[in-house]
Formats: sequence, C-alpha cells, structure tokens
Amino acid sequence: MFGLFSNKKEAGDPVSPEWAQQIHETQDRWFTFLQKLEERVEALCLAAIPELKAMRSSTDSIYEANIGQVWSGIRGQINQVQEKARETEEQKIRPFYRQLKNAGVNYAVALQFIETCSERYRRFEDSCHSWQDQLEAATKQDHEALYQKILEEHEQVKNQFSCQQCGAPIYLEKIYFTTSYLQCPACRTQNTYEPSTLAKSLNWIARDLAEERTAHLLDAYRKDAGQDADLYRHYLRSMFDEWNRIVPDMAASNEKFYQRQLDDFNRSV
Amino acid sequence: MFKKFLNNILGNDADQQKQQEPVVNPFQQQAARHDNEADDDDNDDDNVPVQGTQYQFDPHTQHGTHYTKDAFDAAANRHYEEMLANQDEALSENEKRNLKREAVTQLYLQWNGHNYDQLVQFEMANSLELTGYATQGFNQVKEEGNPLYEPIHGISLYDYAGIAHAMAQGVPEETILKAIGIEKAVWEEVNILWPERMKEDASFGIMTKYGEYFATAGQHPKLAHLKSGAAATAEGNPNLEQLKTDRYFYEELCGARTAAYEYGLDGAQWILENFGINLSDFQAVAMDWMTAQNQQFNSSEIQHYMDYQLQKQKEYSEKFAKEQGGNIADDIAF
Repeated sequence: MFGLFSNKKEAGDPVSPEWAQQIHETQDRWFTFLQKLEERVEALCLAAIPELKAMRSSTDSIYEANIGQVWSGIRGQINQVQEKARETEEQKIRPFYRQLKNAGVNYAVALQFIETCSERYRRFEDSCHSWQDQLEAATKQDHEALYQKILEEHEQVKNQFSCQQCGAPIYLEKIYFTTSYLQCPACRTQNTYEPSTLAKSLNWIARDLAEERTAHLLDAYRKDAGQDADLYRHYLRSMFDEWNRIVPDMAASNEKFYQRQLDDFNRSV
Repeated sequence: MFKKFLNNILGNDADQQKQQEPVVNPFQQQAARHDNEADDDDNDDDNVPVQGTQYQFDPHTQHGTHYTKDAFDAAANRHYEEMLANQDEALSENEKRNLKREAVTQLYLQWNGHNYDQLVQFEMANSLELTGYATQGFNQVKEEGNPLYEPIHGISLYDYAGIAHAMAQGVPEETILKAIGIEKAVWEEVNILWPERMKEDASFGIMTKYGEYFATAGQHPKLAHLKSGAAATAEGNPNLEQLKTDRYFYEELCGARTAAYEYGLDGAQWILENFGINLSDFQAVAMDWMTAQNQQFNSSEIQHYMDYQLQKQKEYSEKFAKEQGGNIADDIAF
C-alpha cells in the first residue's frame, strides 16, 4: 500500500513477513488515526466558523471579548487534538521505529516507514494550521468597511452638534475620536463633545488600515529577499503617510514613531 | 455533535460555569533557594581566581567585587577590537553591538567563574548598555531630566499606572478621574499620549517603568482608597496574600488561567469567581514575581516552576474537559 517493498534489490536484506505485516499495520493505523482526527477538527471548525462570522458581523467594536473567548476555546480543542497526535507519535510510532532498528530490520525499509509516517504527520499539522488560519480570518475585523462606516457616520453627525448654552450649531470640522472641548462660535462657551463608540475606534484601526493599504510595498521588499533597503524605507514612509492621512491629529506623534522605526531599521543594515 | 461544547463556549450554559467549586491549594512549600555558586568549568585565564572560588557581586552592576568595572570595561573593549579586526565583512550597527555583547559575555564568564546564571543576571542588570533595552527590576530607567517621562496634562507615568490599575480592578472611570482630579476629555487624550510615548521609546524604558509602577499602583495615594464595583477588593483576601507569598500557588493559578482560556472560559473571571482575585491584583503580583525572578536569576528554579505550572495546567485542563463533557477527540484511539 505504501510502497514499502518496491525496491528489494536496492534495499538489501528482505524483511520477514511478520515484520512486514507489523510495519504495514502500524502505518495503516497511524494514517487512519490521523485521518479521524482531521475529520473531527474539520467538523468542529465547519460548525464554529459561521458562528464566529455571525458574532463578528454583529459588532463594530475592534476587540470583542466574547469572540476572543470562543475563538480561544476552539483553538484549545484543536491544540488538544494536536497534542493527542503528538503523544501518539511519541509513544507508538517512534518506539516502533526504534524497535525495527534494534531488531536489525532492513534499514531502508525502517527509514521509509518513519519518513512516510512523518510526512503524514506533517500533513496533519498543516491541516490544523490551515483551520486555525480560517478561524482567525472569521474573527478578523474588516478595517476598510469599518472605516467607511466611520466616514458615513461623520457625514451624518457633523452638522448636528449644537451649543448647550445658546443652541448655536457647532460644525464638526474633523472626526473626533476622543472626548473633546469645542468652543461655540457664537457665545464662546466650551462644550464637551463625546464621539460615538464607532468614532472612538478610528485611532485603534488607523495603523492596521494603513498597513493593509500599503501591504503591496512591503511585499515588494520581501520579494526582493530584503536586498534593497530603500524598498523598505519607501514602504515605511508610505505607510506612515497613509496613517497620518487617516488620523491627521496623530501626525506629530506618528512622526516620532516613524523616526524610531527608521532608526531601528537603519541600524540593522 | 459539538452542540454541548459550542454551547459552553458561546455562553449558552453560563450557569454551569458559575457552579464551579473553588479549588483548595494543597501546596505551601517553596522551592529551595540555590546558591550563587560558580560552575566547575575549566578556567584558562591566569588573571582569574581558580575554579570553585566563591565570588561576591556588586548588587547594582552585578560585576564581581574582585575587580573594578573600569578594568573590566577596558579589557572588554580590547577583546571587542580584536574580534572586530577579525571580521571579513563590514558590520551593521546592530551586528557591532552583538559582537560587543559577545566580547563582554566571554570576558565576564572568564573573570567570574563561568557561572551562566550569574551571567544572565549581569546581562539583565546592564541590558540598557549591552542591548539598548531596559529590564524590569534593575532600576535602569532615569526619569529625571528625560522629556519622555514628563507628565502629560499633569498625569505622571506613576499616575497613569495607578489609573490603569484601578480600572482593571473594576473601579468606575468617573470615580477614578474624580479622585485623580482630571476630566474625561483630558483623560482620553492622556490615554492616547502615554502609549504614544511608549512607542517612541526605543529602549522600552517607559514600558519597564510602567510595569514597576503597576506592581505598586495599589498604594497610589490618591487612588488606594477607592473601592471597586464588581471586582472583589484586595484587602483581607487570604488568597491574594497567598498569591504574594506562595510561588506554587501563583504558578497554579497561572496554569489554571491558561487552561480556562483553552476551554473557552474567561480565565481572569474564573480566578475572580473562584479565588476572589481580580485581574489587576493578579497582574501586580505577577510583576513582583517576575522582578524577583530577574533579580535572583536561577535557571533550574525557573525550570522547576515552569514544569509545575505545566503540570497544573494539565490538571485543570482535565477538570475543564470533564465539566464540558470531554475533548472532541477523546473517543478516537490509535
């Protein structure tokens, strides 16, 4: 089934039928065992991903404790399955391989056994990682969509705030993401404006959004295998420019951070 | 098939979580302290005391007291220059710094009896100079005269850590801001600008200092008297006192918290419900244990506690799995 005995001439001494059968059975059980684990992980993730997506789409907040908790619980179950596979590999497959070697079973056959089992184990691990990536994607906030909602909300509210003293309209000339004092242009009274939860999230998504919008520049640097340092400098400048466009109020502070990032990079090349 | 599991972690079976019994900690014993003994490795430097020598170390610099810092620095520089001269290619600033660190490390081991735990402690005590990064517990950060540590709208880093500590304890924001004497608009700007300062600081000194302040934030003169709303108060909680003095208990709760998160529970909430310790107090105690660990670095002791925490995590995992009807692949056998 697994091509264990196809190269008898090259492989040296023939393997006894008893050993051949044990090798065949162990490998077969290992494959079946991992397949069942994969199927169980798949069933769990197929059930959980729609739940996570529904939870994600029901809120605009950046971090939602419930989503994190559910995701953590599902990841925990996948970890348990991976741990079970790891323990079984350590307790069943590796000792059997050592047994083959100690018994003097043809080295090429023993090696092929362990390589075949290891390769199947790697595929199992890849499958788990793939599901974890899909779970992560299901919980991820769509920053671009959220930003559009913030812009739309600002369009709606920018002419609706008025002075608590004289009632004169106070125009919101920008998106405020923290509670701010706004002076009434008519009576000079200081008014406290408290942005919505949605608007307050602007500063928290700005960097992620800027990074997503300039990701192609970082990719260009990485595709160049990091050879051209100017490609990275170009990415960094562009990313911070984008970041500053999204939250102009943070530009002065961001520039200090940019300088630090640039200095760090320059010291490494 | 996964209905019960998903119901559990989606919070559809919340009552079940509330019924969890408090766990009694059976351990009181602390790990035995290890001496700062030098290893028995061969020492091929004639200037260095012979193997088996008990060295004394300066508590601030962690240099051996059998030589002067100036003598060490001069010898380390000579060693570094020799190593630099042997490089085939031009080095970046970071590579030069790493080479210098290697030269210092080699010399330190030669002069101090090849004690690797002592080396780690020396590296942490001098991390700002050796790596450019500050380490908690070694008083490396000098706030005075450093503009990065100037208060923001009157709120110092100590105040900022105190506010964060009180908020994590569950004290209402309004109560905290009133006690500290600032308005919400000011606070929200402060809460953006202090993290901005941290980003600006390449040495991570602000973050390090913040951690040190957070550990003592419970004694902040303007905030210590505030009582939390939902969270249990620290005063008079024997579990909190045990957490501060019993390292095994601390490791057990760390393991329990990790296991709880892996089973879809809110680990911090679980500890609050079962032991009456809120996240804020827990983190403050964690800072203290980590600082003490840095100051008395002992690799075998650290490994011992890590093993213990893993063992406890496993035990709690089994408990949570049992409560949730088992793990999803329990019925699959090899």
